Amino acid sequence: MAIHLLHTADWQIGKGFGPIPGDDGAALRNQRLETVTTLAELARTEEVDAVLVAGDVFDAQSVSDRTIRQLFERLRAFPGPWILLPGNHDAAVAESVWDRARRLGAVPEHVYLATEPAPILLEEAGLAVLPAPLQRRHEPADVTAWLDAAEIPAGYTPVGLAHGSVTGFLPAEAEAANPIAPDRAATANLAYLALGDWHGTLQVNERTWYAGTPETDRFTSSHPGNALLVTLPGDGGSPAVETRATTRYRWHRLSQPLHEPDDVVALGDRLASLGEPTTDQVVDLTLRGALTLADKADLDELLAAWRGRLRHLRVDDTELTTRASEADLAALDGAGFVATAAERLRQGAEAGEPADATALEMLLAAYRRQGGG
Amino acid sequence: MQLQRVRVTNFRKLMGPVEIAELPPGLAVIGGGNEEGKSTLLEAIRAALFEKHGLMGEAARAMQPLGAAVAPEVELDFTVGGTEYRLWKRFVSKPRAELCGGGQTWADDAAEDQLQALLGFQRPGKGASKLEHHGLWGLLWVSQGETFEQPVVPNATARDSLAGVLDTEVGEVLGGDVGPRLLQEFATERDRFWTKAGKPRGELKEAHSALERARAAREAAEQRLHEEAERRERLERVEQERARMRAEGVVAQMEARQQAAEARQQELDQRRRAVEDAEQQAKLAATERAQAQERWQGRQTLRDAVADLAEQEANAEETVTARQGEAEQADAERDRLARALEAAETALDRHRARERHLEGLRRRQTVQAERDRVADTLAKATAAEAAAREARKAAGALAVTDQALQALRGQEQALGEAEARLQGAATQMELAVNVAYQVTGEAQGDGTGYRITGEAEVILDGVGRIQVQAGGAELPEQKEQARRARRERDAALDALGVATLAEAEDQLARKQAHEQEASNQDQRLAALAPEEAGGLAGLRKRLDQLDAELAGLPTPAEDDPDGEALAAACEQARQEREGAETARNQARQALDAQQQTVQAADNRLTQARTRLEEIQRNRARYQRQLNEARAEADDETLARALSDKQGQEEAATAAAREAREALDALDPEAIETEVAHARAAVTKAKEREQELEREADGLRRALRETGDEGLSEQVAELAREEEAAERQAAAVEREAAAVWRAAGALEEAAREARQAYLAPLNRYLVPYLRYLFPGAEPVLSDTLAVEGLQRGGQAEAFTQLSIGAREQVAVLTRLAFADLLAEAGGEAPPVILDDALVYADQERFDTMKHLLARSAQRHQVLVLTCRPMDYLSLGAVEFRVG
Repeated sequence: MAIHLLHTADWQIGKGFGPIPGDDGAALRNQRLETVTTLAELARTEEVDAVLVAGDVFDAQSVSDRTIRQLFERLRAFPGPWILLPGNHDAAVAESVWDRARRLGAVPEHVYLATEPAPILLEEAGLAVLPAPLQRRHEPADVTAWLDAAEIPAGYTPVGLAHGSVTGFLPAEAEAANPIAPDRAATANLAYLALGDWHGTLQVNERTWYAGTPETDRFTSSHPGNALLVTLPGDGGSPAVETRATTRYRWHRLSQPLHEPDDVVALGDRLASLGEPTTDQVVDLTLRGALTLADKADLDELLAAWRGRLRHLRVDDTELTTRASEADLAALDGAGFVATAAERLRQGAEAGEPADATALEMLLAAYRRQGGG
Repeated sequence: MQLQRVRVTNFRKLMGPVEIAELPPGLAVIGGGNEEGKSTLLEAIRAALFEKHGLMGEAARAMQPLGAAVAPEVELDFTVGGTEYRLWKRFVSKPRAELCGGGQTWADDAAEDQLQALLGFQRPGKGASKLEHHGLWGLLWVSQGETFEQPVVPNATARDSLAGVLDTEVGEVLGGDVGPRLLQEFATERDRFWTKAGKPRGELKEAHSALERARAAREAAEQRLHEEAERRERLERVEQERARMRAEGVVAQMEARQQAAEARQQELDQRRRAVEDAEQQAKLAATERAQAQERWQGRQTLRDAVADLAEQEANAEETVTARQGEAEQADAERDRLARALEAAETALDRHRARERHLEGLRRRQTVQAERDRVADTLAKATAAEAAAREARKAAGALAVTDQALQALRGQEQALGEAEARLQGAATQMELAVNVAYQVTGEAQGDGTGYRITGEAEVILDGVGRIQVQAGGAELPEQKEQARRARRERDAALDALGVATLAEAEDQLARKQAHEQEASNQDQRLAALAPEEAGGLAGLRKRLDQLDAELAGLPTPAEDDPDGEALAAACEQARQEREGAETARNQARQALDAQQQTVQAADNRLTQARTRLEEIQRNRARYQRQLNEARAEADDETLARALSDKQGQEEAATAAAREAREALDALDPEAIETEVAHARAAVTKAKEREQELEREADGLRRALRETGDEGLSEQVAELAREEEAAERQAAAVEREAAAVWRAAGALEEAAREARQAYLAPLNRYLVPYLRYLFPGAEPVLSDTLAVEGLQRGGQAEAFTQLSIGAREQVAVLTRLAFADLLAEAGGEAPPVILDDALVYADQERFDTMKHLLARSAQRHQVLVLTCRPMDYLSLGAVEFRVG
């Protein structure tokens, strides 16, 4: 009989969104918990036999008690079993977040905390989960090594659960510690090896996958925001792995050159094409080029409108300058030394002095306000 | 514009009518003494131009002459733009105004309106107009009594007119009204963000502070988080070590090692006790052997001492005998030397007596000579004293003194004068008769006739007798005076014992000669017998002393030498006496030395005897002790006992050595070290276990305490706040930088514009200024006020200049304004100076006059002065008030 698993990892509960301030950041942070509810719902609807969480459930050992309670409360939405593995962020160290969760009495019965390298036998599903918890934040040795010699009762399907870097597979910067042998699934005769740590969904080999984080939390191209539905056929054949999108927020990194009025319009079109609902889109926008004061005003208006529509819009316009148009400067005819000052600021702005560009804007606005032009 | 004629009637002190006509287009000098009405004339012109004819109240009444209810009237002829106008106004009573020009006439209010349009000035809301209403006219008038405390600031109307001209010259460089407002706005904006020194303030400073606070808060939270992580890592290491200790059974291992070491320690202790016992026995045997040895050695010592003392006794007896011989020998030698000393002293006495006798003879010679000299001096001194006494006695016998002689001379002179006066008043009688005659009574003949001073009788022989009575009222008095003078003079002569003045003078001369002699003798006496040597008494005392000494000195015998032979004999006697002294001293020294030798020999003899006696006593004592000891135990018994004890000691020492060797074979130091180490290791291991347990408990407690704080979430939140603060600070910085740039650009452009704007005015003003202030540039404000001068890179405020310089700058500024208006604007109102340039020195005054004349080529300049002659050199047309 086939076994159905929901493989997820790297929830990073309690982690903030550094670059995103205020209410937007709070909403994103809260979404991590909401996504756990989404996962529970998925597990329930897909009637999986177990949910395997491959480490970094919590972002840190020192999350608040309230955060711990909130997380375990969400797990009640699916009766389990849930197998939660300590990762490098929440390693099973002395007085760890897991110890605290147990002491708080927050862990429901259907939730297994895999803090020891010992088989967890799920009799009903005939599943033997072999966890390789990190008991230190950084383990120089491969903690999955014990899986090769793990003894499990007959009739149980062995599934590995680990958190770390598959050696020689990930980019160099991801391999600093916690190595995992790339052929561990084979050497340990595992039906499947569920991995965490890499935040994108990634297949390592036929029986080994990274699930990735279920809620996207950064501008990245590593394909995050999913969970894996894994079906282990009863005959010991290859697992069937199905990727399910679980993220609510989609993160976009855009770059837009702006020189003409049409460029501003084009930017509006790009923002409109990011997808619905717009309030679930998080955008990092880099602007460069030079606009006239009038076009800059249009741009400001456009951006103000989109700030209201998007979950979050971050704009980097340090490479964008304003230039006074002929019409702008013509308004200063007869303005005496004011025109001289404006012309000098315009020259400064064109020479790349950002303060001069802003100063020119201010001066022209003030001139109009004082009744000139 | 040009004033041509003015006529004033009933205006204050100018009851008039006063008229000044045909004022020229250039320089005109209006002269008049103080209080003659120059300033009143100007007031009248000002009233005509700027006051409405209907002006009421105090200002209007002030135009009337004091106490006269008449209507002031002013009539002006002037040109504007080449057109001639005549203006007439009457004030206070039936006020009227009339303006004619260009073929038109305006009356009353219409005239006022036309005049205002023509001259471009302002009117006050009500009441009299003030300087600021007078436009360019007001600007170009320098009133009497102006204090020049502040720079000349053109009034608004004048400024507009000047600006109109300047704008025509340089265009609208100042940017109208908006420019200054923008300058102000951006300066204010800049003040929001920056201090004057360019340091952040207000919103910008607060943004920086907020960022610093946010950063500090985040860093503090991170630090706490870091500490928590360190505690967790530490706890992990502690637990690992505890687990390792438990797994390895570290404490049990240490305890087993301790037990093994302690077993070896017990064996060691047993052997150590055996060593102690054996060593105790050996020590006892050694003590007994030492006692036997001591007894044997005591016996030997006593025997040796007795033998030794017997030998010493024999030696000492020999020594006593030898010392006795030496002492006797020394005594004999001492006696011989004593006799030799006695003979030497007898010879010395004899030589001393001979020397004393001869020296006495020599002394007698010396003293006798001294005595003769002193006796001679005493005789001379005694004679000098007697001579002085005699001279003083002779002088004392003469009564005349210098003072008495002076008095006598005065009396003599007074008598002469009284006699002369009497003779002068006497009647002169001359006789020429051919008979003999006789004159009696108070008449005195003087060869030529007789002077009669009273009653006189002339008896002419044979003829008769003539009774004469001298007349004159003063004659009796003069006669009395002459008599009194004579009486006084005669009394003085009697008192001095002389008959005449000459005798008195002679007597005084002799008296003085005696006194001089007495003084001379005193000096001689003082030289012979000085007071400090006791005078005459001193000499006498000295003579007595010398006589007494002579009496004590020996008298020469017949065979005694004298003279030079005596001296030679004295020297020989001295040498013989010294020879005898030397011989006596040598004999004494020899005796003294021998005396010591005798004493030493005696001492040695005494010592030898004492030594012999002591040895004899000791030998007897030791012999007695030896006899007593032998009676107790003989020598052989003692020797045998010593031999026995030596054998016992050797046996006990060997046993102790064997026990020590057995102990050392166990290496006691190593066993003790091992036991100590093992015990310490157990203690340490247990302590370590407890320590780790305590530390783990502490760390757990700390971690549980901080666990609920959610430090990582706090750090994330604070990092977000910090980033928000960073963004806010960056935004404020951008705005502040832009405001700084905008304000700076505006101010720089405005400064340049102002310089361009003021250039036309400077074109006229700078040359004028440099006549008086070489190298100076005016510092002009936006309101066209000369705020100061720039000289040699130094700025001087107008108010810092001397009053003379301020006045000159004020006048030159007006000339420049007028020049600019005349040349650039077509025409200028007249420049009017009322008693100006009063503070200028002659050189500056001359220069100013020159500049006035130069400026007057462009427009009219009216100079009102009480000293019109000062302006004569300019060749200006001169007018008089009154």
